[in-house]
Amino acid sequence: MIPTILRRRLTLGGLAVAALVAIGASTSQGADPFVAGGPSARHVELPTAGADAAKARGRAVMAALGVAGVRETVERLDDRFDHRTYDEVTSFDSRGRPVAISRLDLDGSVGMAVALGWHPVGGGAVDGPGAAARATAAARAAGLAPRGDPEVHASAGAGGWVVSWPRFVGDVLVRGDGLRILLFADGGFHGLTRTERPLADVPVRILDRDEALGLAERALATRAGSRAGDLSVAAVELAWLAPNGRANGTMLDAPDGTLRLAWVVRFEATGPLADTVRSVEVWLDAGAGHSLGGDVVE
Amino acid sequence: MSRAHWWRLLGPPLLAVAVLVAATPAAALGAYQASVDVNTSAFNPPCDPDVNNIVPKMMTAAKAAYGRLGHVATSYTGVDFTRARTLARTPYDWGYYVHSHGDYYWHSGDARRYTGFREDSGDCSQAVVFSKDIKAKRAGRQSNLVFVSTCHAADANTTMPDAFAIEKTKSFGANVQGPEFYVGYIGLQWDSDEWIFEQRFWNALAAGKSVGASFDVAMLGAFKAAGFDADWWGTYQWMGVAGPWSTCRYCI
Repeated sequence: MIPTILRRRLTLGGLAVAALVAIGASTSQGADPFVAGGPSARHVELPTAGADAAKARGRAVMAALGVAGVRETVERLDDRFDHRTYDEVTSFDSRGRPVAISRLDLDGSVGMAVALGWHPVGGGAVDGPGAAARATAAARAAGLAPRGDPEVHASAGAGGWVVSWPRFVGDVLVRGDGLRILLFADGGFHGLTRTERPLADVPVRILDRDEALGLAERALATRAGSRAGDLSVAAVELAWLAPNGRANGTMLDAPDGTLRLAWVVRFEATGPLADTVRSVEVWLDAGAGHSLGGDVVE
Repeated sequence: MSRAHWWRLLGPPLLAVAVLVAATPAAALGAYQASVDVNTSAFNPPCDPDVNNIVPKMMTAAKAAYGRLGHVATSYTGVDFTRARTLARTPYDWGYYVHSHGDYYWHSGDARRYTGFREDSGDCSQAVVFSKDIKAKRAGRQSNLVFVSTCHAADANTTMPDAFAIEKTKSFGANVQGPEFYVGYIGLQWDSDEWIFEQRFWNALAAGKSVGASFDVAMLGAFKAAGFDADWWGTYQWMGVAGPWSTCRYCI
């Protein structure tokens, strides 16, 4: 039997532990407030003057991109998935249909713009160089100044083309950042997104390629036993990326808001493993070597 | 009889009916079932050397999203996501989401290929669910939102939309093809990009955007792959609400 005083102490101790756990949980949620299953954007109060300015700016941006609205609505959103607060302006036509959405950063610059709807594929389609020229013109119309030659990809989801200017720091690609413009097959504007997320400091010492590869191979071998042999190294490269995991192995529901310099080790699957997995990426902090998460093509 | 007296007489039965309606399970009212099938086993040890924590997030998000659209949504993984169980459920599904390994698989019996995906089954030996299997079970019944979160699900030659009786056309404006929308990925895609796309899509739907507008917003994510691509077929301006066609505010 536990003496009463000891039982009281245990109870108080238990409460204290529970409180600490609760505080810890709250703190971790503060660092990563987005939780899978919920909406990622929540409303933030927007003063009337700010709303009027955003609507005017949204209308002007979409008009410059060739989409004429007759009425706008606006809401300020805190997007916990994208780690961004923006004014989302929806433009409507004379029949009350939404025809465009623009997302404006709080300084008025364009983060995203989309012409809603669909252009049937018909005659007058533009080719790759034509798409690049149209995208460059659209970027300039939106007040952006892309530099250099863009990458051009055919895209069914875009309705024709995706033209992108990826972001580099030195020679290192910043994954997901840059300017991307979607065009319909006829060259008409469909969408635009501009992303430039903050970067963590460059590590004082960067692991060399072989060190990173060794760490990645050892990590897989300890987890998988015999099936690790079904993965062969395809690439080892440095990249800036948004971690989707923490150093302790736990995962983030949203990609981290600050990008880190990472060694990306890509493996291709062979043998029986290839029935379900095609590629695996291990992401390692370029300085400390700990996990930043990873990725898979299934 | 006075007006006040009428109300006194009608009050209790009206109240009883209101209580009964409120207490009746959704299923008894003709609930719109949605199934969320997610292959977890294939992408975690011992089947895959690397731990995949993206997949559970996709399952949670999809189930919640179908619930917000008015479906009675249930998620299945492990031994609950088998070819047999999926095919047993599919005739009753209005909405369907699957995340797995997908391809344009050879079907030796028919000596041709069909789009399909692998079951989970809780082990590393996973049968293919072919589109023709689903088509046979569903026999042309109406689908709502169908999201096939696998590689090759929306390639130009995909046979999966037809399994759900969704014509591979893009309907916009006054041109509608009913309360249906099919989404899938083109070619090979990374899970991290699929997760970004899916969260953007579900979030836009939750904010009241049409399925087509939600797709357009989802396409503008910060994807790591320059060639990321997805496609859709169905009614662009449909709002994604569960059940048969009622009204479409913006289909004009």
